[in-house]
Amino acid sequence: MMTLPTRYRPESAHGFLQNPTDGAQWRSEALAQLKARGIPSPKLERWRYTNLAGFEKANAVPAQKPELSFNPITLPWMVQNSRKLVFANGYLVFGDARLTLGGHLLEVPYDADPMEKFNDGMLWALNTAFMQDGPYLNLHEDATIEIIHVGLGHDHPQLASPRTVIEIAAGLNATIIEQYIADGAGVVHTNAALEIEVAANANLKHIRIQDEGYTRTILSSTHARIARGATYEHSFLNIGGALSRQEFWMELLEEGAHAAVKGAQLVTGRQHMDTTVLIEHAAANCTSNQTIRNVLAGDAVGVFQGKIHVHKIAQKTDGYQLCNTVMLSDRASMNTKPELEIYADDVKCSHGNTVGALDDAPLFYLRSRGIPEAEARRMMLTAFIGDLFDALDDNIKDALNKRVAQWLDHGIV
Amino acid sequence: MLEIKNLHAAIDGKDILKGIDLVVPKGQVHAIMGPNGSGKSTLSYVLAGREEYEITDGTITLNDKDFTAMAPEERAAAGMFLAFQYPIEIPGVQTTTFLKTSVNAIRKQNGQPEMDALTFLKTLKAKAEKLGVSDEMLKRPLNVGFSGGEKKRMEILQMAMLEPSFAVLDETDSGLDIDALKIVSEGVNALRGPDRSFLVITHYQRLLDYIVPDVVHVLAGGRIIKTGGPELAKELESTGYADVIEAA
Ligand SMILES: Nc1ncnc2c1ncn2[C@@H]1O[C@H](COP(=O)(O)OP(=O)(O)OP(=O)(O)O)[C@@H](O)[C@H]1O
Ligand SMILES: [Mg+2]
Repeated sequence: MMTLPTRYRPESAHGFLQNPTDGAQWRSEALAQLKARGIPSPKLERWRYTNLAGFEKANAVPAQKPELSFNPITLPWMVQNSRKLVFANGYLVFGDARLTLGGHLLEVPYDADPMEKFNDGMLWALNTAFMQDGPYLNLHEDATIEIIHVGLGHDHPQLASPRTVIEIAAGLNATIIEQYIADGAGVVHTNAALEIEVAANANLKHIRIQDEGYTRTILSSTHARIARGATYEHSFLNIGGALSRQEFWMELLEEGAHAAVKGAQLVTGRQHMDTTVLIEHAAANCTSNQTIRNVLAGDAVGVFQGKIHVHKIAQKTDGYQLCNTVMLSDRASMNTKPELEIYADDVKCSHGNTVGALDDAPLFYLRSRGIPEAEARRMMLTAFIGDLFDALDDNIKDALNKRVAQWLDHGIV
Repeated sequence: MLEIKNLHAAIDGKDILKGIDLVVPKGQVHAIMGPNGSGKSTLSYVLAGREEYEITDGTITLNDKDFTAMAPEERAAAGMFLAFQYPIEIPGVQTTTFLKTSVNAIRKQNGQPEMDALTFLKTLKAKAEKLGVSDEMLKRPLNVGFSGGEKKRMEILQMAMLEPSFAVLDETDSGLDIDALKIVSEGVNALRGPDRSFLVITHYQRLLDYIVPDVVHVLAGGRIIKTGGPELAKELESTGYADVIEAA
């Protein structure tokens, strides 16, 4: 039997989202859930390495719509003819309002599954309780869409709660680029939630750059549901945040679906950066790929938790996971937790994990050819990030690699 | 001119080089032969400045510059080149990009302007062709997946591009087929000249038929135990090291 994405089955609308027009109700249920369970604590298995106590203590208030003090045209857009949206602290400040939740916030059938099963529900519930706006990309033609989220700092910490809903119709090719950047002094924390559905044989390339300064908490939960023969490829480059955690829950729901999460965490100073992935193989003949590369400097802390869950019916699963970390400082630390949970018997799953300093031998080889040590290191680190973004269009790939180069040249503290 | 005086070197607290004295005048080729584990590669690394090796005594000077405390990149800029016994694979660094970075890094350290892109590519193409290095190899990541012989050719191509005043060739002949041995030797001989000297480390007389040395040394147990002319290599080929070591 086919398992269709929940969104396609009206009879399966669940919980407090049963009646999506009743905004007050789903908000208050999310709040009730949040109050009952609280902000995730390190006592929870999935939160062992990341502590949100500081975020909770900051006592941020829900963000208000801010004034934009600059021209959105000056933002670091990557693709010339893309459709462009700018959100500030979770509110639309530039772009076509028809591509946002704003106008029909109460009509969209929100995804409530994560409240039950994902990141222990709390961050999803927190977003549901306070979201006001966000991209609503219900695509029926091929498109490239760029979204820039600007965090405009405030004297008293605020919390931005952008909600993103992406639905790609069958057979389409879409590219969505999201950038999270900071503006102004002061603090605004972000707790984003993204619900993504990729219908049969569609391809979605989702690129996310998190470059939001070094003082903020940046949380995001991405729930992707992928149908027959469809692909969802998520590429990320994480640079910013005092504390950040991005979580993915990718469900491969029908045969031939493919999910990938490939990205780099560049962590320095006293930053804490966490990527946590759950890939669920819920149908046969699906493939998944997790390729994570971390560079840690200073007193930084890195986390990668990656789980492949293969259901009993998911025969011929091909699941791949590799996490490589280069440590530039012996004060930095990396926590890695790979997990395989396999109930089918005919599957191919692999995971690997390396952590170490840059190799001496190639470093010496480059230096023996006259290349100064700093440049030799930079060459090796560039090579380490290497092919991560190679499958992306040239202008996107170049922008990402350029940002990596900037970090290697000036970002390490 | 390279001058090594009473050189002692250790790695991980273990003494490997135990008092080496060696002078290679400008324009000369010296060969070093010796049993496995005698310290030949160690000597080559110490000359190139590998930091894991500790110089516990003695000095190295090249063209009157004291090398003993210099960083590897400074030594390269001052004219030192090591063709590695085991060239290192560097994934993600394209060979051409690497060569260009290397050439210009050395020029920069010597106060010269960068080589312009066109001149660089022309020079590279001409030299690569002579050494039988294909365009396709130049596009690949440095040494990655190269065969043993291809790696050795790549070392000689690097030497040809950098035009050092002193080159150490550590078993460049091992892994080369007969034709490649000839090509590589021609490449080396083309660089021979009054201002350039070589230290050729090898196990086989055959290489020295192509690159005829002025002097041959035997290194054993971290010391030079015998020095002679090209005929010494021939002698060793027939008798082996045992007699020489015993006599020393
Ligand atoms: N890190 C190390 N710790 C201890 N001993 C080492 C280390 N590295 C090398 N050695 C030893 O140093 C000695 C000299 O090694 P070296 O590579 O210089 O020999 P070689 O003359 O080049 O030999 P070959 O002809 O096999 O290439 C060997 O006995 C080797 O085992
Ligand atoms: Mg050796």
